[in-house]
Amino acid sequence: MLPLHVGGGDWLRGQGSWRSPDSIPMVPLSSQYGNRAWQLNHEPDNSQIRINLPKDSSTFRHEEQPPGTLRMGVTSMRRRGTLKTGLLPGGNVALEKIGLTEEDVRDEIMSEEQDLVKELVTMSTRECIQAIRDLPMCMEDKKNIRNQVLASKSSKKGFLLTCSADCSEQISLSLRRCGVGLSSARQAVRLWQGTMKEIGGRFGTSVLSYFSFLKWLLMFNTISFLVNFGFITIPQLVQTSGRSPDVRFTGLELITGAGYFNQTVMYYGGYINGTKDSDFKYNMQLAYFFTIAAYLVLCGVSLIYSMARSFRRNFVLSDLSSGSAWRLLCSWDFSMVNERAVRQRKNNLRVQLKESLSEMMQTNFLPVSERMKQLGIHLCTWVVSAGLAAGSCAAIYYLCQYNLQQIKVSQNPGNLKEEASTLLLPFVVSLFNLVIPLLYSLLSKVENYSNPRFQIYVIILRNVFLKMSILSILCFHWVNNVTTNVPMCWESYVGQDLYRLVIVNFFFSIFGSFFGEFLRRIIGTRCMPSIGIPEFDIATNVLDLIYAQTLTWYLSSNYASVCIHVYLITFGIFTIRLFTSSHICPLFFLFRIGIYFSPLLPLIQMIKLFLLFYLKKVSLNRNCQPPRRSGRAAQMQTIYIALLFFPSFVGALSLVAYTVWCLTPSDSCGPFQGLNTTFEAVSLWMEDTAIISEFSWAVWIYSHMIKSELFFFLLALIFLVLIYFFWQITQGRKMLIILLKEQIINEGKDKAFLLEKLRTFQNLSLVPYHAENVHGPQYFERTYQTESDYSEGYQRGACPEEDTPPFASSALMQAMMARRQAEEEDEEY
Amino acid sequence: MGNKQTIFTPQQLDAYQDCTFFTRKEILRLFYRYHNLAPQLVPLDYTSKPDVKLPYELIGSMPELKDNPFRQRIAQVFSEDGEGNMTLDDFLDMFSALSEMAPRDLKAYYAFKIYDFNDDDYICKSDLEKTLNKLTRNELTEDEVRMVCEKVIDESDLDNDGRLSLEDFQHMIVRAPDFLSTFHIRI
Repeated sequence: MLPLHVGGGDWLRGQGSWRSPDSIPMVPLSSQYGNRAWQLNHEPDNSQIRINLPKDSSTFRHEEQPPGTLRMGVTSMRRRGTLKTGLLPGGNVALEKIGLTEEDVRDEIMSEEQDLVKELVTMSTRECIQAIRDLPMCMEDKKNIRNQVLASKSSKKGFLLTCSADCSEQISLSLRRCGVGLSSARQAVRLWQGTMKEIGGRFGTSVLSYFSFLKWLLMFNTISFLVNFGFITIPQLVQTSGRSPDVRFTGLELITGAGYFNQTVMYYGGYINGTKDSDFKYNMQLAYFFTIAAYLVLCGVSLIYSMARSFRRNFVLSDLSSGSAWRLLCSWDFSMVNERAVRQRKNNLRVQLKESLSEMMQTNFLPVSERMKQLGIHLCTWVVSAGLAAGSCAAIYYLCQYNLQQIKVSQNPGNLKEEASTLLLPFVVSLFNLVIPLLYSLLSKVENYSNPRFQIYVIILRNVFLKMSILSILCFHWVNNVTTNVPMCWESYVGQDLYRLVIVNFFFSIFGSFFGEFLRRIIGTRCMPSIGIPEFDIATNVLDLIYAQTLTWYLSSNYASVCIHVYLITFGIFTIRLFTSSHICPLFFLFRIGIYFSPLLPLIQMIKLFLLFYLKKVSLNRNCQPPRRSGRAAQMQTIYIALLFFPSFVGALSLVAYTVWCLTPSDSCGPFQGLNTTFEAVSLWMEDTAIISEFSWAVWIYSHMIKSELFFFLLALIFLVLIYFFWQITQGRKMLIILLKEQIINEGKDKAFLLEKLRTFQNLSLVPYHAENVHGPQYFERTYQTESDYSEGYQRGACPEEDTPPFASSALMQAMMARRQAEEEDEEY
Repeated sequence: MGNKQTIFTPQQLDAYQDCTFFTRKEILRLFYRYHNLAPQLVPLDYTSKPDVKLPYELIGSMPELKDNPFRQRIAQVFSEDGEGNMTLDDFLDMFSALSEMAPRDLKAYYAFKIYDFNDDDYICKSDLEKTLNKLTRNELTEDEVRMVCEKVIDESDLDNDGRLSLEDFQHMIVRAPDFLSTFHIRI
C-alpha cells in the first residue's frame, strides 16, 4: 500500500478528514481558545491514508497543545441513524460504481473508533469522562465507547490483585458519586434559579445580565459582611455589652441615623480601644485597620481578576464590528420562550438587517454641511451635559457649607427639626441623580448616532461623570471642611451623612421606579401611543448598582445599619410595589465609600440588593418590553465590571487611604483616639514588637520595605519593564494571527485544487498510467501551470457536480479509491 | 444518597451521568418531563431498555421549544432517524448539548448542524436563505435576502470556497462571546 502524506495536514483538520457528505459528520475543530481543556485535536500522523506533499515553508505547525489534551487519530463521528438507515444514500449500487463496498467504509469507521478508545483508555477517569461528554456523537455511540473504555480499563487492571482493584474502583466510584451529589446540592441552593430562567425567557440575555450582575454583587457583599462582622463588630459587641447609651430612641433615627445610634456599633464612633478587665485583650485599633485593609485588598484582587478574565474573553478575541454574519447566525437567543418576545425579536432582527443593508447601499459621503451640523450638535450636547453636572456640583457644595454653618450655630443638638433638616442634602443629591440622567437620555435622542453601541457608551460616560463629580464634591467637603469644623466626632458625622445618603437613595429608587417606568408605560399606552412601552434601561440600572456599591466601600466604617436596615426593610416593604428605576446607582458608590466609617454596611447592601431583585423583577414584568437592540451583552458586562473597578473602587480606595494616612482622628471618640494619624497605630505596634527579638524580621520588613519610598520606586520600575515586554509579545502575536489567517485561505485553495486533481485521476482510471505519476511528488507540487487551470480546479472544488455519485467528490471516498487503485497496481507489478 | 428510584438501573444512571452534563437529579427530572409528554407511551420502568420513540409533534409542543423557529431542525439533528422522533437518549442528549455546561466546541458543532438544512456538512447559500427566512418571518424581499446571504459569506468564509465549513463557523463563534449564553435552552 502506498502511503501518501499530507503536508501540514491542515486542510484535513477539522474537516473531519475522510467523510462522505452524507454519512459522516465532521470533527469539531480543535481550537486553542477552547474553554475546556479537552480539545479534539486532529493528528494527521496517525491516519492510515495520507497524501504526500513537499512541505511548503509556509506550512505552519499547530501550536503545542497543553499537556493532557486528547490527541486523536483520524476521527469520524457517525451521524445519528447512519447505521440504521444504511451508510449512504444510493446504497451499495452507488458504492460499487467506485469500486468500494459498504464493509470497507464500515471497517474504516470501526478502526477509527478503536483509535479513539485507545486514546481514552490512557487518560485518568475524570478526564476520560470529560472527553466522552464532549464528543459530538449520539448517546448510543457515546455509551458504546464508554463501555469499551471501561472494559479495557478493567481488563488492564485484571493483572493486579483483584481485591485491591475492586476496592479502588469502588472508592473512586463512590467519590465521584459524592462529588456529583455535592454539585447537585449546590445547584439546589442556587439563588433565584427559576426567576432568572423566566426573565431570560421573556426578555433575553442582555436584560438577564443586569440581574446576574446584581446577584454577583450580592454574593460579593455577603462575603465582605461576614469578614467585617466577624473581626470588628463581634469583639466590640462583646466588649461593650452592659453599657447603655444615654440618649432616648426616637423613630427619626431610622432615617437620619443620628441620635441613639451615634453611640452604638453602627458608626466608627461607637468603637473604643478599651480592653476588658479579664485577660481577653483585643487590640481594636489594629483589628479595625487590618480588617478594612484586608477587605479592600480582597475586593481589589477579585475585581482585577474578573475584569481581566472578562476582558480577555469578550474583547480581545471578539471582532468589534457587528456584522451580518454574527447577527444572523450567532445572535438568536434560543432561551426565549415567550411567543410575543420571539415575535418582537424577529421584528427587531429584520429591522436591524434592513438598516445595515441600507447603510451598505448608501454611500458614506455626507455633505460637509451635514457633518458640520452633526458635529455642532454633538458639541452642544456635551457642553450642556457638562454644564448640568457642574451646576449640580456647585449647588450641592453650597448646601454642604450651609449645613455646616447650621451645625455651628445650633444650640440644641437634639432638636427634631434640625435633625430632619439634615435630610435636605441627601434629598437634593438623590433628586439630581434621578432627574439629570433623564435629561441626558432626552439629549441623546436629539443627537443622531450612527452606531447604537456608541450611543450607549456615551450615555454611560455622561452618567458616570455626573455621579463621580457629585461624589467627589461630597468627599472634598467631608475631608476638608468637616474634619476641622465639626465639634464632635467627625467620623461619625461623615458616617451619618453617608448613611442618610444611602437611605434616601433607596427610597428614591423605590419611588423613582414608579415614576420612571410605571408612568411612562401609562403615558406610552394611553396618552401618547407613539412612545410605546418603555424598554428596560440596562445601562442606567447597572450604573446605579455600581454607584451604590461605591458608597458602601467608603461608608462601611460606620456600622450604620444592621438593625436599622432590618427595620427599614419591614418599613420599606409596604411601600414597595413597582420598581425599576435607574436609582440604585448611587447606592453602590455610597456603599463602597462607607466601609471605613460604617463596617456593617455590607449587610445593608445585601438586604437592599435582595429586595431590589424582586422589585426590579416585578416592574420588569409589568412595565417593560424587551430591548430593541440585541446588544453585545458579554461586552457590556466587561464594561460594567471595569466601571466598578476604575472610578468606583479606585476612587473609594484613594479616599480611604487619604483618610487613614493624613487625617487626624477625632479626640473624643473611636478606637483611634489620641493618635496623630490612623496609620500611627501600626507604627506604634511595630515599635512594640521591636522589643521582641523573634519578630525582628517583621520589624525589618516594615522599616525597610513598607516605609521606604525607594523600594516602591524600584518595584514600579520593574513592573513597567515587564509591561513593556508583554506588550511586545502581544504585538508579535497580532502579526502571527494575520499570517495564520492568510494560511487558512491558502490551505482552502490547496484543498479544492487537490480534490479536483483526484477527481480527474479517478476519471482517467480506465486508462493505465505510469507509476511515476502517482508516486512522484512533483505532480502534487503547488505549481499551477496556468491561472485558468488553478481557478478551474478551485471552482470545481467549490461546487461538486453531477455525473459522479454524490459522495464521490469527498476526500474520503477519493482517497479510498486511490488506495484501492494503488493496491491493484502493486499487484500488477 | 438515597437510591429510591426504580426507573433506571444504577448502571444506566451512571452511564447517563457520564455521557451528559446532567446530575442524577436532573436526569430524573428530565425523564419525568419526557414521560409527561406522553404518559401512556412512556413506561415508568426503563430497566429493560424499551424502545420508545416520541413523535416530533409532541417534542415540538414543549414550552421550551414551541416558539423556537428552529425547533424542527433541532429535533431532526438530535433524533436518530433524522425525522424528529426522539427516544429518551436523544432527548437527554439534546438538552445536555444545549445546557450551559456544554463547551463551546460542542455547541458550535451542533449549531452548525442545525443551520445546515440540506445536511451536506456545509452551510451554503440556500441554507443561509432558509435560516434568514425563519428568523425574519419571510418579510424581507428576495433582493435583500440575497444581499444579506452574500454579506454573511463574505464576512465569514475564510477559505474562500463560497460556503461555510465547520471551521469557518467555529472561527466566527470564537469571535462572538455571547454565543455560549444565547445557544442555551433552560430546562
